Amino acid sequence: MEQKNLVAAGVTKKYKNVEVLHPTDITIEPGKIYGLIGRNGAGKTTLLSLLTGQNPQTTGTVTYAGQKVWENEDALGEICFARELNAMLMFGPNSFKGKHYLEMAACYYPNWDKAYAQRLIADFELDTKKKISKLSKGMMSMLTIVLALASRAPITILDEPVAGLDVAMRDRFYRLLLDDYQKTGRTFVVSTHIIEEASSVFEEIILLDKGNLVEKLNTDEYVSQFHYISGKDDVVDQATSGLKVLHSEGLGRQKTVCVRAQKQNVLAAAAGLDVELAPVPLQKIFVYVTGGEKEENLA
Amino acid sequence: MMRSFRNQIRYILQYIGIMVLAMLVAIPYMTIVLHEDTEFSMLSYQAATYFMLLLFSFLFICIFNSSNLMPALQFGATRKGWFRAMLVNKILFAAGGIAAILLATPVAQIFYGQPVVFGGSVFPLFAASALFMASYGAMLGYASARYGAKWLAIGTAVFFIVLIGATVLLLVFLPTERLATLASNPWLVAGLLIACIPPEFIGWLVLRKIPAKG
Repeated sequence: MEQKNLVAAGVTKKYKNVEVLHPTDITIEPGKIYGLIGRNGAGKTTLLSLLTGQNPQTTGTVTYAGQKVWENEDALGEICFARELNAMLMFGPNSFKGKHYLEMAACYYPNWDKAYAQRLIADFELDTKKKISKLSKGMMSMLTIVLALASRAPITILDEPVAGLDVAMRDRFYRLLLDDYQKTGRTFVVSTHIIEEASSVFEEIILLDKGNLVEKLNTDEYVSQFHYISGKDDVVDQATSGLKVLHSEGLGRQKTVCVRAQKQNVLAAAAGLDVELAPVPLQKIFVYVTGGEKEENLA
Repeated sequence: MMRSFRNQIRYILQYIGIMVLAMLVAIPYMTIVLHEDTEFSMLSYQAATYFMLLLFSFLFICIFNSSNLMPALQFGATRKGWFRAMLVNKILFAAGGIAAILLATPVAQIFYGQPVVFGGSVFPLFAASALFMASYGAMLGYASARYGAKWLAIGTAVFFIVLIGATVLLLVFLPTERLATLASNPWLVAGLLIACIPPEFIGWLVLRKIPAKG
């Protein structure tokens, strides 16, 4: 059986003369949960809207199972993009009641699971009789989660699904996501800023920075490339000479450095030196790789 | 398929609702505004009905289309599909316009006790301008949805209202004989019908690359 990949080849997006997404090649394979991370304005939503045929790319192609996605009803019926809802917009979904929004979605997704949608609505205690514009941020997120999960689309993409949700609801969402994934094996792409609590869910991460695709790797493999080395400053300097240092911070004579290297290289560099090695959380890696620490230094 | 069928039924019922509303509102409108001092005229009643129908249709298109397009595209509708749906809308509006004019006559008879006198050769003009107006309504839907911008929608709405107003003035105040002469001119009717086409093309040019913004 043919593997139904969602493939972007050389896609770019320009708004007027500004290229917000530089040439990007990416393949979304079936049966995986991807985490899409990047700072504000990195091009996450742009990339997702190009992948789902909701926005035309400036150059390049987007295909699903070898067929062009743009204006292709068959392909679009298998791809659900649950966009973040925004209360500020005058037009679009905001004038809908929650139930009408979901009813409309049901018309377009051939695998729509009405019973599942109703279970989720009851579980979230979501008032679908209210207009979307009247819902709280958290409620809007819940509605997009219902849409995404009940669509049963083989490729399901969620843009900031946990924005505005409290910790308990975020945890509930990730459990639902994993549960659904285990049952159906469908593909999820989740864009989020709350990286740490989602990192255990993501099988692969896609890291965007300033419109460039920086990384697309297995999460464990990626995280295993980063290490904290800490100890007395001169000893740490000795241990990290020849290694790629991403971040450094000190307190008195104590110093902690984040390096990117294979574990055996780090172990070899630290051999015989009085330093401590520790793993680096994904959120910190994200900050160091995307240059977020510059702002910390400015503060 | 079933859901789609139910939706179609719902839309048709909505159109019928608008049509009936237009006919009912046209009665006091005509009584109060048009015929305080003048003799009742069936043609004027039909014109008033038509005006009301266009007004309600305009409001309906403005709210309904612009609100529906974005989520539809976000849910994987194609722009071609939407365009087809808009064409169906246009045909429904035109059909609604014609039906409202036809039905207005017996309704007026009930209220005024006048014998049924249909507008005769004015009918093609009504039909052509119904199509014409509906196409602009469709264009308004595209435009406001395209930019999600209230000012564009308002601008187009003003244009649309002016256009309706001009048509209504023409229909109401032009002598019946003159109207009948105009409507009996096949070139004029053909011209009005042709005038329906460009907005659809313009609409398509705008729509074919429309992003589905949230």
